[in-house]
Amino acid sequence: MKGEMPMNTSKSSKTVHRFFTAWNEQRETRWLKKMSKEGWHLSQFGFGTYRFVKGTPGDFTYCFDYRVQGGKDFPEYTALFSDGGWEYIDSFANWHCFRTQQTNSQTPDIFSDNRSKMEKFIRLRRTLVLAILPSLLWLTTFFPFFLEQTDHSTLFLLLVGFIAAADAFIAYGIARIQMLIVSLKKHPRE
Amino acid sequence: MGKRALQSLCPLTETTFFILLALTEPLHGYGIMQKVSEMSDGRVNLGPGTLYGALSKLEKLGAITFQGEDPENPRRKVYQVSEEGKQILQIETRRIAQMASVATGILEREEQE
Repeated sequence: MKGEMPMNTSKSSKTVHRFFTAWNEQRETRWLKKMSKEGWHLSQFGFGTYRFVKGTPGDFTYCFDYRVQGGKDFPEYTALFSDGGWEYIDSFANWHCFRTQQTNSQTPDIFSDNRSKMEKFIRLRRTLVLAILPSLLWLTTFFPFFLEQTDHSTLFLLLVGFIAAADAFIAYGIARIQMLIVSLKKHPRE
Repeated sequence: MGKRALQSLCPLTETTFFILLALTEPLHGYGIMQKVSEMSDGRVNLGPGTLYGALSKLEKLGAITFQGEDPENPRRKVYQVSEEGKQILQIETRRIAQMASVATGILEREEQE
């Protein structure tokens, strides 16, 4: 995990590189809350990248939804959140970020039951399984064949090593998400 | 979708039960949130993520149908419970009423003892 590295700092906006994982979402949302309290409000996010805009400090709760969202239904989707008091921030790779200033409950959440919270992680698990399958198949079917040959180019070995490392990381992620799903399943309601 | 797919919803969760109940009249998402909160005396406050997921699932299963866009705000879609959805609601209401009545009987008897 990388430390905080501010880049392109100007008076009104800044980009920060930080890496969070989906199974440790609270770390990310806690950090975004802290940033807002300091007057830095999230405006865009990407892979390990967060863009903040300077504004009045405020106490905001941030939440992420994971959903493969078709463009046609997107206006309805965000309208439902804004009707429920949640401001839409940005989307990246099927992750959608919202925030609210509501304080009617101790910790406002875009999910009001554990079942829907669990379904979010089931959607994420599906994407991760689909992402890992082709390269896993490739590693297990072609890799033994390549091992038999003695002459390997460095580039090839680097590529295999990179794919194996990426697969190991995704597999670990799937396991962690599976643990979340199981624990939420045990408590279908809060 | 067939009856079997709809039966996968049963027993209804509190969230799904109240959403179906709210949609006995045509409503958009925000209307559902308000009506469910009202019907449950403020106990069930639907999160937008939960409501959106439930509406997509219920529509896919045919328990509710899309009625059109709200003329005042076209981003709001209006839904209503289907005949099949109403049947599920009736079956579940009978089940819950039976549970409540048998529980009330037993608990009252226990208090008298």
